[in-house]
Amino acid sequence: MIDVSDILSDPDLCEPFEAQRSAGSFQAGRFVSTATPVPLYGSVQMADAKTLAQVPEGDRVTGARVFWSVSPMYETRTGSDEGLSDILIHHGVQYRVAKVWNWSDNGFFKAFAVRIKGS
Amino acid sequence: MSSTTFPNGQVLTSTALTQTRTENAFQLLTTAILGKDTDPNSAVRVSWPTGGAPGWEITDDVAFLKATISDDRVNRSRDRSQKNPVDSSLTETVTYLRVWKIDFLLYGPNSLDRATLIKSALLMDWTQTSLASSNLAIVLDVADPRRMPELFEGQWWERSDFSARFNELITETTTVPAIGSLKIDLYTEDTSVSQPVREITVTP
Repeated sequence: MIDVSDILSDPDLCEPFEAQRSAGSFQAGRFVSTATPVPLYGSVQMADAKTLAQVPEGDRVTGARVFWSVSPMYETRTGSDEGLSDILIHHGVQYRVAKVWNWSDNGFFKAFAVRIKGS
Repeated sequence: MSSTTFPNGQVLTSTALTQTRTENAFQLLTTAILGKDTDPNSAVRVSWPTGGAPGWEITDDVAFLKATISDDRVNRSRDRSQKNPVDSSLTETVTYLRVWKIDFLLYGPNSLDRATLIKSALLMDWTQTSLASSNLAIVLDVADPRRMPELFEGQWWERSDFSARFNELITETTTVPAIGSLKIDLYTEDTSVSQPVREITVTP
Protein backbone atom coordinates (compact mmCIF):
# COMPACT_ATOMS: atom_id res chain seq x y z
CA MET A 1 0.00 0.00 0.00
CA ILE A 2 1.24 3.46 -0.83
CA ASP A 3 1.00 5.76 2.16
CA VAL A 4 0.30 9.30 1.00
CA SER A 5 -0.10 10.83 4.45
CA ASP A 6 3.07 12.91 3.99
CA ILE A 7 1.26 15.01 1.40
CA LEU A 8 -1.40 15.88 3.98
CA SER A 9 1.27 17.32 6.26
CA ASP A 10 2.71 19.61 3.60
CA PRO A 11 2.00 23.24 4.57
CA ASP A 12 2.09 24.20 0.87
CA LEU A 13 -1.02 22.11 0.32
CA CYS A 14 -2.69 21.99 3.70
CA GLU A 15 -4.15 24.21 6.36
CA PRO A 16 -5.68 23.88 9.79
CA PHE A 17 -9.41 23.47 10.21
CA GLU A 18 -11.65 22.39 13.07
CA ALA A 19 -14.20 19.67 13.68
CA GLN A 20 -17.03 20.05 16.13
CA ARG A 21 -17.44 16.43 17.16
CA SER A 22 -20.69 15.58 18.88
CA ALA A 23 -21.57 12.76 21.21
CA GLY A 24 -24.82 12.24 23.00
CA SER A 25 -27.82 10.07 23.66
CA PHE A 26 -31.58 10.04 23.27
CA GLN A 27 -33.49 11.84 26.01
CA ALA A 28 -37.27 11.44 25.97
CA GLY A 29 -37.28 10.70 22.25
CA ARG A 30 -34.90 13.47 21.20
CA PHE A 31 -31.20 13.19 20.53
CA VAL A 32 -29.27 15.49 22.86
CA SER A 33 -25.60 15.98 22.13
CA THR A 34 -22.68 18.14 23.08
CA ALA A 35 -19.91 19.07 20.68
CA THR A 36 -16.20 19.13 21.41
CA PRO A 37 -13.77 21.06 19.20
CA VAL A 38 -11.13 18.88 17.55
CA PRO A 39 -8.26 20.59 15.68
CA LEU A 40 -7.52 18.99 12.29
CA TYR A 41 -5.01 19.62 9.56
CA GLY A 42 -5.32 18.79 5.90
CA SER A 43 -6.39 19.93 2.48
CA VAL A 44 -9.70 21.64 1.85
CA GLN A 45 -11.04 21.71 -1.69
CA MET A 46 -14.17 23.21 -3.16
CA ALA A 47 -16.77 20.61 -4.12
CA ASP A 48 -19.59 23.01 -4.86
CA ALA A 49 -19.20 26.77 -4.98
CA LYS A 50 -21.13 29.02 -2.66
CA THR A 51 -24.36 29.28 -4.61
CA LEU A 52 -27.15 31.73 -4.24
CA ALA A 53 -30.71 30.47 -4.42
CA GLN A 54 -33.25 33.24 -4.65
CA VAL A 55 -36.55 32.08 -3.25
CA PRO A 56 -39.62 34.20 -2.56
CA GLU A 57 -38.82 34.26 1.14
CA GLY A 58 -35.29 35.59 0.61
CA ASP A 59 -31.82 34.50 -0.41
CA ARG A 60 -30.45 31.12 0.58
CA VAL A 61 -26.85 30.11 0.09
CA THR A 62 -25.56 26.58 -0.35
CA GLY A 63 -22.11 25.12 -0.85
CA ALA A 64 -19.92 22.09 -0.22
CA ARG A 65 -16.27 21.26 0.49
CA VAL A 66 -14.09 18.17 0.40
CA PHE A 67 -11.75 17.76 3.35
CA TRP A 68 -8.65 15.54 3.29
CA SER A 69 -6.84 14.71 6.49
CA VAL A 70 -4.78 12.01 8.13
CA SER A 71 -7.21 12.23 11.08
CA PRO A 72 -10.58 10.49 10.97
CA MET A 73 -13.74 12.46 10.31
CA TYR A 74 -17.15 11.02 11.10
CA GLU A 75 -20.66 10.78 9.76
CA THR A 76 -23.58 10.23 12.13
CA ARG A 77 -22.98 6.96 13.91
CA THR A 78 -24.92 4.57 16.11
CA GLY A 79 -23.91 2.12 18.79
CA SER A 80 -21.74 2.78 21.82
CA ASP A 81 -20.09 5.76 20.12
CA GLU A 82 -23.38 7.42 19.19
CA GLY A 83 -23.07 10.90 17.72
CA LEU A 84 -23.95 13.23 14.88
CA SER A 85 -21.86 13.99 11.83
CA ASP A 86 -18.82 16.18 12.40
CA ILE A 87 -19.30 19.87 11.73
CA LEU A 88 -16.13 20.98 9.95
CA ILE A 89 -15.27 24.67 10.22
CA HIS A 90 -13.26 26.23 7.42
CA HIS A 91 -12.71 30.00 7.24
CA GLY A 92 -15.47 30.42 9.80
CA VAL A 93 -18.04 28.57 7.69
CA GLN A 94 -19.63 25.37 8.99
CA TYR A 95 -19.94 22.23 6.86
CA ARG A 96 -21.70 19.06 7.96
CA VAL A 97 -20.08 15.79 6.94
CA ALA A 98 -22.31 13.89 4.55
CA LYS A 99 -19.92 11.27 3.23
CA VAL A 100 -16.63 9.79 4.42
CA TRP A 101 -14.09 7.78 2.45
CA ASN A 102 -11.93 5.78 4.81
CA TRP A 103 -8.59 5.49 3.03
CA SER A 104 -6.72 4.88 6.27
CA ASP A 105 -4.82 2.02 4.63
CA ASN A 106 -3.26 4.70 2.47
CA GLY A 107 -2.88 7.10 5.38
CA PHE A 108 -5.79 9.50 4.94
CA PHE A 109 -9.51 10.19 5.25
CA LYS A 110 -11.64 12.17 2.82
CA ALA A 111 -14.93 13.80 3.77
CA PHE A 112 -17.57 15.50 1.67
CA ALA A 113 -19.41 18.12 3.71
CA VAL A 114 -22.28 20.48 2.95
CA ARG A 115 -22.61 24.03 4.16
CA ILE A 116 -24.98 24.59 7.03
CA LYS A 117 -26.38 27.88 8.13
CA GLY A 118 -25.09 29.05 11.45
CA SER A 119 -22.00 30.87 10.34
CA MET B 1 -50.38 28.61 28.35
CA SER B 2 -48.92 31.32 26.12
CA SER B 3 -49.49 35.02 26.34
CA THR B 4 -49.06 37.68 23.63
CA THR B 5 -49.34 41.43 24.03
CA PHE B 6 -50.46 43.33 20.94
CA PRO B 7 -49.47 46.92 20.05
CA ASN B 8 -52.87 48.19 21.23
CA GLY B 9 -52.22 46.79 24.70
CA GLN B 10 -54.59 43.84 24.41
CA VAL B 11 -53.30 40.58 25.81
CA LEU B 12 -54.22 37.25 24.24
CA THR B 13 -53.78 34.22 26.47
CA SER B 14 -54.08 30.83 24.82
CA THR B 15 -54.04 27.22 25.98
CA ALA B 16 -52.98 26.00 22.51
CA LEU B 17 -50.31 23.33 22.79
CA THR B 18 -46.96 24.12 21.26
CA GLN B 19 -45.45 21.69 18.77
CA THR B 20 -42.94 20.53 21.38
CA ARG B 21 -45.53 20.04 24.12
CA THR B 22 -47.69 17.97 21.80
CA GLU B 23 -44.76 15.82 20.73
CA ASN B 24 -43.68 15.37 24.35
CA ALA B 25 -47.19 14.36 25.42
CA PHE B 26 -47.43 11.67 22.74
CA GLN B 27 -43.84 10.51 23.24
CA LEU B 28 -44.58 9.95 26.91
CA LEU B 29 -47.93 8.29 26.27
CA THR B 30 -46.65 6.00 23.50
CA THR B 31 -43.75 4.91 25.67
CA ALA B 32 -46.18 4.06 28.46
CA ILE B 33 -48.40 2.11 26.06
CA LEU B 34 -45.47 -0.01 24.91
CA GLY B 35 -44.98 -1.24 28.43
CA LYS B 36 -42.84 -0.90 31.51
CA ASP B 37 -39.76 -2.43 29.93
CA THR B 38 -39.68 0.12 27.14
CA ASP B 39 -36.69 2.45 27.10
CA PRO B 40 -38.26 5.85 27.86
CA ASN B 41 -35.59 7.72 25.92
CA SER B 42 -34.95 5.95 22.65
CA ALA B 43 -37.81 3.51 21.94
CA VAL B 44 -40.17 6.29 20.84
CA ARG B 45 -38.56 9.14 18.94
CA VAL B 46 -39.77 12.45 17.63
CA SER B 47 -39.41 12.92 13.87
CA TRP B 48 -37.68 15.80 12.13
CA PRO B 49 -34.81 16.41 14.59
CA THR B 50 -33.29 19.78 13.65
CA GLY B 51 -29.68 18.67 13.61
CA GLY B 52 -30.32 15.05 12.68
CA ALA B 53 -30.14 12.01 14.92
CA PRO B 54 -28.43 8.63 14.85
CA GLY B 55 -30.35 5.86 13.16
CA TRP B 56 -31.25 2.40 14.40
CA GLU B 57 -30.53 -1.23 13.63
CA ILE B 58 -32.74 -3.65 11.70
CA THR B 59 -33.31 -5.63 14.91
CA ASP B 60 -34.38 -2.57 16.95
CA ASP B 61 -38.06 -1.93 17.59
CA VAL B 62 -38.29 1.83 17.30
CA ALA B 63 -41.34 4.07 16.95
CA PHE B 64 -41.35 7.54 15.42
CA LEU B 65 -43.98 10.22 15.93
CA LYS B 66 -44.94 12.95 13.50
CA ALA B 67 -47.27 15.58 14.89
CA THR B 68 -48.95 17.89 12.40
CA ILE B 69 -52.06 20.01 12.33
CA SER B 70 -54.87 18.59 10.21
CA ASP B 71 -57.38 20.90 8.60
CA ASP B 72 -60.94 20.05 9.55
CA ARG B 73 -64.30 21.79 9.31
CA VAL B 74 -64.74 21.41 13.05
CA ASN B 75 -62.00 24.01 13.39
CA ARG B 76 -64.17 26.73 11.78
CA SER B 77 -66.57 27.12 14.70
CA ARG B 78 -65.79 29.60 17.44
CA ASP B 79 -67.70 29.92 20.70
CA ARG B 80 -67.47 33.42 22.15
CA SER B 81 -68.48 34.64 25.56
CA GLN B 82 -67.85 37.78 27.58
CA LYS B 83 -67.44 38.19 31.31
CA ASN B 84 -68.54 41.13 33.43
CA PRO B 85 -66.59 44.31 32.79
CA VAL B 86 -64.03 45.37 35.35
CA ASP B 87 -62.39 48.78 35.19
CA SER B 88 -63.88 49.54 31.79
CA SER B 89 -62.75 46.28 30.27
CA LEU B 90 -64.18 42.83 29.88
CA THR B 91 -62.73 39.43 29.25
CA GLU B 92 -63.70 37.74 26.04
CA THR B 93 -63.25 33.98 25.90
CA VAL B 94 -63.09 32.11 22.60
CA THR B 95 -63.09 28.33 22.52
CA TYR B 96 -62.59 26.13 19.50
CA LEU B 97 -61.22 22.77 18.40
CA ARG B 98 -57.98 22.16 16.58
CA VAL B 99 -57.19 18.77 15.08
CA TRP B 100 -53.78 17.12 15.46
CA LYS B 101 -52.79 14.26 13.19
CA ILE B 102 -50.27 11.95 14.80
CA ASP B 103 -48.45 9.58 12.48
CA PHE B 104 -47.09 6.51 14.24
CA LEU B 105 -44.22 5.00 12.23
CA LEU B 106 -42.93 1.75 13.66
CA TYR B 107 -39.80 -0.06 12.58
CA GLY B 108 -38.47 -3.38 13.80
CA PRO B 109 -39.36 -7.07 13.75
CA ASN B 110 -42.37 -6.48 16.03
CA SER B 111 -43.56 -3.31 14.37
CA LEU B 112 -46.99 -4.58 13.31
CA ASP B 113 -47.78 -6.02 16.75
CA ARG B 114 -46.65 -2.84 18.43
CA ALA B 115 -48.70 -0.66 16.09
CA THR B 116 -51.77 -2.77 16.86
CA LEU B 117 -51.07 -2.43 20.58
CA ILE B 118 -50.77 1.36 20.36
CA LYS B 119 -54.03 1.64 18.44
CA SER B 120 -55.87 -0.54 20.95
CA ALA B 121 -54.46 1.34 23.92
CA LEU B 122 -55.38 4.72 22.48
CA LEU B 123 -59.01 3.67 22.76
CA MET B 124 -58.70 2.74 26.44
CA ASP B 125 -59.83 4.87 29.35
CA TRP B 126 -56.45 5.46 30.92
CA THR B 127 -54.90 6.85 27.76
CA GLN B 128 -57.88 9.11 27.18
CA THR B 129 -57.60 10.39 30.75
CA SER B 130 -53.94 11.09 30.13
CA LEU B 131 -54.69 12.95 26.90
CA ALA B 132 -57.48 14.91 28.54
CA SER B 133 -54.93 16.55 30.84
CA SER B 134 -53.53 18.16 27.68
CA ASN B 135 -57.03 19.06 26.42
CA LEU B 136 -56.80 16.30 23.80
CA ALA B 137 -59.38 13.70 22.84
CA ILE B 138 -59.04 11.00 20.22
CA VAL B 139 -61.22 11.00 17.10
CA LEU B 140 -62.48 7.44 17.23
CA ASP B 141 -62.21 6.73 13.51
CA VAL B 142 -58.70 5.20 13.48
CA ALA B 143 -57.60 3.13 10.50
CA ASP B 144 -55.73 -0.12 11.11
CA PRO B 145 -51.93 -0.21 10.86
CA ARG B 146 -50.52 -0.84 7.43
CA ARG B 147 -47.50 -3.11 7.04
CA MET B 148 -45.02 -1.73 4.52
CA PRO B 149 -41.52 -3.24 4.74
CA GLU B 150 -38.78 -1.01 3.39
CA LEU B 151 -35.80 -2.00 1.27
CA PHE B 152 -32.65 -0.46 2.72
CA GLU B 153 -29.10 -1.46 1.94
CA GLY B 154 -29.99 -4.89 0.63
CA GLN B 155 -32.40 -5.90 3.37
CA TRP B 156 -36.13 -5.56 3.94
CA TRP B 157 -36.76 -3.61 7.14
CA GLU B 158 -40.10 -4.31 8.80
CA ARG B 159 -42.26 -1.22 9.08
CA SER B 160 -45.91 -0.61 10.01
CA ASP B 161 -47.65 2.75 10.08
CA PHE B 162 -50.94 4.18 11.17
CA SER B 163 -52.33 7.60 11.98
CA ALA B 164 -54.79 8.91 14.51
CA ARG B 165 -56.45 12.29 14.88
CA PHE B 166 -57.01 14.13 18.13
CA ASN B 167 -59.20 17.11 18.89
CA GLU B 168 -57.58 19.76 21.02
CA LEU B 169 -59.85 22.12 22.92
CA ILE B 170 -58.28 25.56 22.83
CA THR B 171 -59.35 28.45 25.01
CA GLU B 172 -58.23 31.96 24.18
CA THR B 173 -58.95 34.90 26.44
CA THR B 174 -58.58 38.55 25.57
CA THR B 175 -59.23 41.64 27.59
CA VAL B 176 -61.16 44.11 25.48
CA PRO B 177 -62.24 47.69 26.25
CA ALA B 178 -65.86 47.96 27.33
CA ILE B 179 -68.29 50.65 28.42
CA GLY B 180 -68.25 50.57 32.21
CA SER B 181 -71.07 53.06 32.72
CA LEU B 182 -73.16 55.48 30.72
CA LYS B 183 -74.01 59.01 31.92
CA ILE B 184 -77.09 60.69 30.48
CA ASP B 185 -77.77 64.39 31.05
CA LEU B 186 -81.25 65.76 30.40
CA TYR B 187 -81.89 69.40 29.46
CA THR B 188 -84.87 71.56 28.71
CA GLU B 189 -84.81 74.22 26.06
CA ASP B 190 -84.12 76.83 28.75
CA THR B 191 -81.26 75.19 30.64
CA SER B 192 -77.61 75.69 29.89
CA VAL B 193 -75.19 72.90 29.04
CA SER B 194 -73.56 73.20 32.45
CA GLN B 195 -76.86 72.77 34.28
CA PRO B 196 -78.74 69.64 33.24
CA VAL B 197 -82.12 69.21 34.84
CA ARG B 198 -81.38 65.60 35.51
CA GLU B 199 -78.33 63.29 35.44
CA ILE B 200 -78.70 59.57 35.00
CA THR B 201 -75.86 57.05 35.22
CA VAL B 202 -76.44 53.58 33.84
CA THR B 203 -74.17 50.75 34.94
CA PRO B 204 -74.31 47.10 33.96
